[in-house]
Amino acid sequence: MTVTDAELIKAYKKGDTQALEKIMEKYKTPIYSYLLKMVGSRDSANDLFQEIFLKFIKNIQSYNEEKKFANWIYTVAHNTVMDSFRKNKNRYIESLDQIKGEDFKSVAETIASKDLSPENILIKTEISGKIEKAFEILSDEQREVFIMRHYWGLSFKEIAEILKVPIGTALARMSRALGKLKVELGHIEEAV
Amino acid sequence: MNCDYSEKILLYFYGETDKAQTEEIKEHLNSCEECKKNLEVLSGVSNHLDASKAAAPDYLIEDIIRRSRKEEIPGFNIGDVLKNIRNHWKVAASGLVFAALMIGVFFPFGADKVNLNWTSNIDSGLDSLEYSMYEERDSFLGEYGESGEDFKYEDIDSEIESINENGRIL
Repeated sequence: MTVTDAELIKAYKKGDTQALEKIMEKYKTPIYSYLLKMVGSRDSANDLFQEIFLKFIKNIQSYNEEKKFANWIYTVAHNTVMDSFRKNKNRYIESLDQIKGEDFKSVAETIASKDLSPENILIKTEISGKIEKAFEILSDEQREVFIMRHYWGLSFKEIAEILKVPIGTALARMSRALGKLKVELGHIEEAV
Repeated sequence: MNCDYSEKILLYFYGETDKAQTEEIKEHLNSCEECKKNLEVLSGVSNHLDASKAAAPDYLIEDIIRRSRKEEIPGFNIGDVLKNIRNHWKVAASGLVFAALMIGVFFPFGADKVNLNWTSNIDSGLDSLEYSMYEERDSFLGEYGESGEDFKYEDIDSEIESINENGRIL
């Protein structure tokens, strides 16, 4: 039986630390993937991931259980990233060369697990590299909507609520991002 | 993107359109190369994002859990409370002293034996003392008059002598 977020939060409020572990287990991928794409550095992503969950632990008593937990923790994640951007205006985003080692490996592993030929893996890896590079030219706002929609599975309405902008703005940001990516990538011959 | 459907394509791709909108967009895609390209790019980027998903390392999670255990009650940080007391110990000490004083005043040991009633005999005793003082004053003024006559130390000395000799004021 799947335990809901609300049940886990209730258990954790009563002091059950295993519930906390389960919550983090559930959100470790969407939040960490978002952080990596936003800050571009594993060290920064690690720091921010800890900061987000320590904020969660500290403020759990004030969390209103009537609200959807996912949206609450995602809002905390978004605010934490924005704060870090404000604090480090000249932040250093690791170049693709520094992080692509692991990312490329993960892409290759994913594709290899589908038993594709080595040539295909190479092609797909190259395309992934192009996409990754194209992502770097997007503004933080454009990249964020893309990532939220994809990694968090939120609707545009929910994204707009987290960003505190009208839904039209959220859609326009993503639309502009897609336009930039299309120009940067040219035409992708085959689906990756 | 110049086509009016650019945002609708996003909603369509992520399944946020209703049946009628979906049909409308499908029809549009048959004739719009730009939107077809957009869908291709979207699909390619989506696959890339799926492939580059990453989970937070286990040691990070273990560290957060370890740190959370230091907090006795979730959301209630005893460390913060102690830190606040350390930072404001003077205020805290003053508060304690004041509280102790208040308890001492209003709830003294053996307080049940003390009559603090305002209509107690203390009040009437004070009244009689005051009354006798007025009587004494009147008799003194009656003797020397109320003319504001100044009397000197020698007068007082002679009064004392008279008292000593006769045991009463002459």
